[in-house]
Amino acid sequence: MRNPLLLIGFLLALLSGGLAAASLWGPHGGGPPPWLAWAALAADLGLLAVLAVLFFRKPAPAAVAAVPRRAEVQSLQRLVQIVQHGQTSAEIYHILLEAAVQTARADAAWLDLNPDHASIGGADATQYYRLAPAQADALRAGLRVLPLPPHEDEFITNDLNLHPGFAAFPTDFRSLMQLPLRGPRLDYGVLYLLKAEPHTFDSEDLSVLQTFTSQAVLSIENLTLNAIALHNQRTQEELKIASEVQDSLIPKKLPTDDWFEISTHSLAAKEVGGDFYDFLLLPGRRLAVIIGDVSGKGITAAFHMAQMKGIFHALMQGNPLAKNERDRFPLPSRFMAQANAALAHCLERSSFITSSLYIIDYQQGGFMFARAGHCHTLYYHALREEVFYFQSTGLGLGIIRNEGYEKHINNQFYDYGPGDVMVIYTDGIVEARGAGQEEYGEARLKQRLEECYFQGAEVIKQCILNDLNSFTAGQPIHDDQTLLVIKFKAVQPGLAA
Amino acid sequence: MKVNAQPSADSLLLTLDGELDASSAVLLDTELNKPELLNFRKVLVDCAKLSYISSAGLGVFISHLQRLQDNNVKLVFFNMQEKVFNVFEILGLDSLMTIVPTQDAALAV
Repeated sequence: MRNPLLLIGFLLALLSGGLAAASLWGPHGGGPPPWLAWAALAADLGLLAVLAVLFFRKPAPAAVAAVPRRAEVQSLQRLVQIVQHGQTSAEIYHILLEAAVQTARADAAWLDLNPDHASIGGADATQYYRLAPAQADALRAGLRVLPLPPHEDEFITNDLNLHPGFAAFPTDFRSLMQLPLRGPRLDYGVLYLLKAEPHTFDSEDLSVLQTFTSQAVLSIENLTLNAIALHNQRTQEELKIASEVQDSLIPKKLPTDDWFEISTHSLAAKEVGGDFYDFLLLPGRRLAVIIGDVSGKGITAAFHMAQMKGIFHALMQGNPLAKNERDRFPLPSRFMAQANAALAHCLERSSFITSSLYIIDYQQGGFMFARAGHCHTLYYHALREEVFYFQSTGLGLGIIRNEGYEKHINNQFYDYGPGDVMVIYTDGIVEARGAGQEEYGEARLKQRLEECYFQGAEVIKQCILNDLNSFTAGQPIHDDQTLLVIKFKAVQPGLAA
Repeated sequence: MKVNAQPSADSLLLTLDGELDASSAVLLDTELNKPELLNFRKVLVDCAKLSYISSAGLGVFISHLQRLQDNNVKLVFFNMQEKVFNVFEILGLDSLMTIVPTQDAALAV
């Protein structure tokens, strides 16, 4: 068999010679200077001469030579096939086996695949060519006795029956060539080619087939990389969808009435987050506001956030059997107890949710709220011209998962006045870190409200966010941030309105 | 984050050193998961060098709370920095867990 690499070299040299000549005699635009083309042509002719000598070194009878050369072209085509047509690793192994057998004109062959890898693409662990599995087993057993390292190296044996492993059980195949499929991280397997006649494989066969095996390994590696890339891309797309779905859970249309104004901000640290807030206008000009923070971040937190939103809407639909309008909706503490019971079944043991629920009543001029382990509410009292944090106790959701929870949550009542401001937020705001890893903190948040309480809700929110962003400038955000500002209008409309 | 466990006659002393976040929470969870923990009457947690606790860190204590209570093992925290205590307090955990100022007070519980 001729070395097809020589043939490739020959073809390449002809082609580049042609190109050099074309650039020499063709129109001279911005191409290389003519002396370069002359030099290239000269070098090329030299290379052609060398190759020609190598190629025709052992002139063979014309009739015999024609067959191997066609075989060489075919083997090149097979090599290209490995590169182009292997859609799965099983196909690549199959093409490799066929191409190797035909090129080396082997009588039989088998391919042992590394069981750690063979499953990818559904390839069988062993592939046979004109060989019974029992024959392969006998050969493997015989090879184990060989003094050569059996799996790591390429090797050719001229006559197996001269080896001690085959002394007792002579084999029908005398010549054997072993070719490992070596990858950078993993050995993919070993290819064995067999011929009945002794002394029939040579080192040239080995080097040609090595290009086949390395090409096959390259193709397999590419497939694996493609599969990983595709998987990553899918995950990214799914995350994008999750992010869009979650975004649709966050209220876009804020409730409006002439006695309050609301401004909101939310930012997730990852594609999806565990912060949430929502509003509902209840009958009797009441407004329910909920905020919450699921422990942890990412997908798990996002699922529980969605669940919490569902619980809020379910419990705030109102009980149609209630005796009067006021009893139709649960008090905040009762709401938290019911939410806690609902979450008990599905929240993993180490997760919890903090939440606050406010029911603001315009007719009563006051609000009632329960704080389930959530950040303290910041408040501006217009009449007293004072900014403070509500101090109240209350346990987070999912911490105690039995009836006992209700003892740990209570309602707080407060009368609001015109011009009062409520700032509701998650710990992503107060625990945001600055350049020196220090936290933004409750004190700094309070200072901001002291400076801009007289503004509208939107401007107050912006004032806080601007300060927060300059504090955290350049730092990555590591927790979801949510901020709600509710301002009771300075002039409260008459009740008859 | 370092977690050091030191058993004595009827109590186990856990010393926490560093930031208790999602990655170090695993260490603490391993410690609290040990079956021999239930042989002690008390688990004392020295928080003097605990500089930060994340929700994942709190989650570890929360997830073991019921099991310890069911087996009559008291979980007692002491030497807690104010910043860390605030985190326990906001979440309402100070009403469920015993948090005392000093080691002497913890031993007296």
